[in-house]
Amino acid sequence: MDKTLLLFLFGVLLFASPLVGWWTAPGTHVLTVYVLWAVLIGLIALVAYRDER
Amino acid sequence: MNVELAILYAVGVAYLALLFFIAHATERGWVPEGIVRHPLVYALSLGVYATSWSYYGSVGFAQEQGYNFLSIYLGVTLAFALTPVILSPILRLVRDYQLTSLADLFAFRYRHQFTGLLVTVFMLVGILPYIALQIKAVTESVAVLTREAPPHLLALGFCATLSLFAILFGARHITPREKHEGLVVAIAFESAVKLIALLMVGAFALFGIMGGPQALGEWILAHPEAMEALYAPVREGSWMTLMLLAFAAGFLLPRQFHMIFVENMDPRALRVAAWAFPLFLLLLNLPIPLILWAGQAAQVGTAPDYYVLGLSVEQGYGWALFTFIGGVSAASAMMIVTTLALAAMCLNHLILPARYQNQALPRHNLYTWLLWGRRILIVLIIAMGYVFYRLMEFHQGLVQIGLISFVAVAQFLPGLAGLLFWPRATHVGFIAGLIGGITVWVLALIVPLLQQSGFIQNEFSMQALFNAEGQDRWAFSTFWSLAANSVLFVLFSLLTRPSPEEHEAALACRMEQVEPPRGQLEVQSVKHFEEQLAQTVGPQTASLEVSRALADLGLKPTETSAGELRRLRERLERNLSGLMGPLLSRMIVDDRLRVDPHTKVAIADSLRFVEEQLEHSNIRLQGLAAELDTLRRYHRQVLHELPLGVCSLTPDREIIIWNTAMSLISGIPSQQASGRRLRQLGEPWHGILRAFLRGDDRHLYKLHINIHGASRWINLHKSAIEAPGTLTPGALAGGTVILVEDLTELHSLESEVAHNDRLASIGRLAAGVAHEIGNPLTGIASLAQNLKYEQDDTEREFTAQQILEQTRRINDIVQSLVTFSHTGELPDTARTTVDLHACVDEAIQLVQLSESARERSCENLLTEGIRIWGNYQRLLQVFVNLLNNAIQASRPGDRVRVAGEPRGDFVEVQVEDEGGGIPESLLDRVFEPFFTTKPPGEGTGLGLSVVYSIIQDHGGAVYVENLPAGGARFTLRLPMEDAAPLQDAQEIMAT
Repeated sequence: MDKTLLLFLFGVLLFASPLVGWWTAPGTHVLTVYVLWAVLIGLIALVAYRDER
Repeated sequence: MNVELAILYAVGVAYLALLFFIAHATERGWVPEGIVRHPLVYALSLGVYATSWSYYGSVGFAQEQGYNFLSIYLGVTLAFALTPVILSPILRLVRDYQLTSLADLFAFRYRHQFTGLLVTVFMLVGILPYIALQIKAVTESVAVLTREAPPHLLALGFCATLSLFAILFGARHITPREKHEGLVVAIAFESAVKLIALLMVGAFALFGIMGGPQALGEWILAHPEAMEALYAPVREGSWMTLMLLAFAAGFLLPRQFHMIFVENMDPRALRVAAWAFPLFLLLLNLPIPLILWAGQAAQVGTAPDYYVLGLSVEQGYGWALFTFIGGVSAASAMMIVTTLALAAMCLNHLILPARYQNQALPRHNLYTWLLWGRRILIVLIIAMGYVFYRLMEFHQGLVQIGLISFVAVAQFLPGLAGLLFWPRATHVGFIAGLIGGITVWVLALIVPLLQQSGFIQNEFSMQALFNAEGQDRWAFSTFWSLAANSVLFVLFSLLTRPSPEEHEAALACRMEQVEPPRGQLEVQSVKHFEEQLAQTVGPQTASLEVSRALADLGLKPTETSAGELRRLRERLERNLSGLMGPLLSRMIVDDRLRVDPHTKVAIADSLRFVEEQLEHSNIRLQGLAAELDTLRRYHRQVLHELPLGVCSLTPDREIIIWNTAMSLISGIPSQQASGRRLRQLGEPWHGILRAFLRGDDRHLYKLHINIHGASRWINLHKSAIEAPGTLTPGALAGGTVILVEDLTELHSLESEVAHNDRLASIGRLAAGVAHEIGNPLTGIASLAQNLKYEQDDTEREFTAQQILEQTRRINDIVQSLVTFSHTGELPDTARTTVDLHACVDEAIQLVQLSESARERSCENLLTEGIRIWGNYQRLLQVFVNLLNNAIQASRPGDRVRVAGEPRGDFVEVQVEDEGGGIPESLLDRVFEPFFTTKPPGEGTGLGLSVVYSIIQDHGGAVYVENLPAGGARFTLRLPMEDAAPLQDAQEIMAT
């Protein structure tokens, strides 16, 4: 549960906070947002896998 | 309809037929179970989220709002990141209480008829724009391919075809609570088709239009404004609002709720879907910027919303057809699943409650009535979507229409938060909040839509009213609708109190339900259940539902236990909830299967209920309570794992505890015994325990009972349980605890030891027997020799008489041996009246066969006529062992005496010798098994322990002491015939 909330907060920080300005700054690579999204998905999978164990 | 249009229609219908075939094949079992139940198939089926909006509209959205289009999917990802906190608890509730829609969920928690009605009507109205969007997308995609304005007939034909397939997919089963495995697999297939089609268009855009990855890189470098057009709207626009709306839509949209929760076959699959579904969305959106740039570069002659199709046309007609199938797939899947979910809501919360209140529920063929009800509703909902599509003049893009529905669905967020986390929330608060949110939603989003379509002529603008005309409309409408909703929800919840039903539902939602059940059921049997239910739902449905509930719980139709009947009632309520919704099922069950709140619930039932709730609840006990709970669990575990049978009873003979050992000994499972009255146990246990409870003895030893033809020996002990010091209502008020020791194995071992000891004795006697038999045989031989020459009849007769005498002597010896050695002919429990004097005589005759006894004499001084109740053969073994022991301890010429006389209810028998006695230090050990003072090989050490065991069995005692003049004395104390404490089980049961 704690890991889940931490993960959610990480997601909020990355995609729903002023930090959005960092990865949308001019000159950012076209795939940056997809990479960050993929990292979040990877972390969700990691937490789900660890919880299941 | 021209030829091209006819081909497109045929292709669309053929594709839907293929989906139906996949569903049919799955339900027929033609698709392997491993595929059907694979978590990735479940995750793919959630791809129903991606509709025409995603398939076509994302490119147009990206053109207008850059990367803002991704917020619709990133919000869903954040929602799925919270799977253990939000999605898993909802799934548990949906599965446990057989809820079939979001309206069911809210009606379950906020127990009021208006709750379900309001949620259903609002959901219906809120989703209509979304359904209209799908119809618009399909007809416009046809226009792109045919380059002609789409005929309205096409939209109507699409709706009619979809109605048919929606019925075929989801309304073929009798009850809505059944899972549609076929639907899940078909929707998963549909998601795969969408993904492949979009990736193929993306690949064409990359290699066919943009010239490959390297050329694309160069194009991006040459067009920095294209990158800025993607990122700038995220910094400036409604990114956060869209994320929030997508967060809610990800699991609250009717189709999402239906696929995530209602169609879930395995809760573990949700954990896989938590990452696999966002991954699917990521892959689906990966080609969108490419398609946008390629569409711009190739100057495709369509609106950006249809670049996907326009690019495919550039590629070739076959490609375009496949892309078109992807679009049809996205729209049809959304419409089918949405209408299925909405139909269930309408039936449960609009139609059925109205019919129930008017007492107009069909009493015959209820299932068929429900099935047709759902079918008609499916057609009606799609028809409403079509009417909405025709009436509204959509001047907005696909995404803009869809977002109206997203804001509507977000209105359920405050209520859901209350459901999961705030037990104080009430239905008044929920309804007030929802009405507030709906009002803002209508004013901010629907009124402008109606104004644009010409239905409303005035210039009203809510944004102007709030002086916020420059604000983003989605941010404005979302903020104010949710703010009004949340404030009213909290305010009205605090101003009102949850009803007892709401309180109970709130605890169930938080898995904190630990209150014991109150009152006893008025119905007393399964048959009575059926009769009562039949008055509302008809005899056929009542019978089927009761049978189903019985099967779910593994109960028999003959069940009468109050606790089990209560479980049956709960199960019936849940099953009926899957059929008619939670509110109606509660009303029917409360009305027909009444509970009398003034009666006392069986304590065992209350205990079991509270324990079950504690086991499954989310309550985190802290401090002393946690310590006490740990101690309680430990004590309960000790009781259950104790190798002794434990049965505790209340003063009115209700069984509270029936532990594992007791189940093994009795053959009655704990769940069958706990909570029942003693009289419901059946024989022989009812008779045994009742007789023991009534009797004065606190202990009964070596009780022989017969269970299913097999003999068992048990010890019984009982003790009164003191009532706790302070008694609260419903608390335990004392009772009795009975311990049952199973001695069957021990008894078998003892019999074996005694038998071995007898065989050893016979071995020791063998030489003496040969000698004793040899003498008369020699005599017989001599007499027979003489008889040959004897002429005188009188002498011959005398000789014959002497031969017979010698033969009788041999026969006596053999008979004594046979009596002594037989073990299996009579059971050890075969007790008769035993003449103790005769028994001692026979024992002396036997021991005198041994060589060592020849020079010692044995005297039987026992008073004649003493009779005891016992086993002759075993008592004979006692005296043989004691006499052998005495003879072996004696010197040649010594005497061994057996004397005794009655003393009250007992008889005391002494066996004395004149030997050297037993060392004082060893006196306490002589009855221990395998204890011997003889050299190795000369004694087994079992003789005296067997004596001890047999005398104990006879309810007696044995002591040893040294005589002052030398020698040892063994004293047996045995109950006389009239005072025998042991009675067999039949006697006990008869008292």
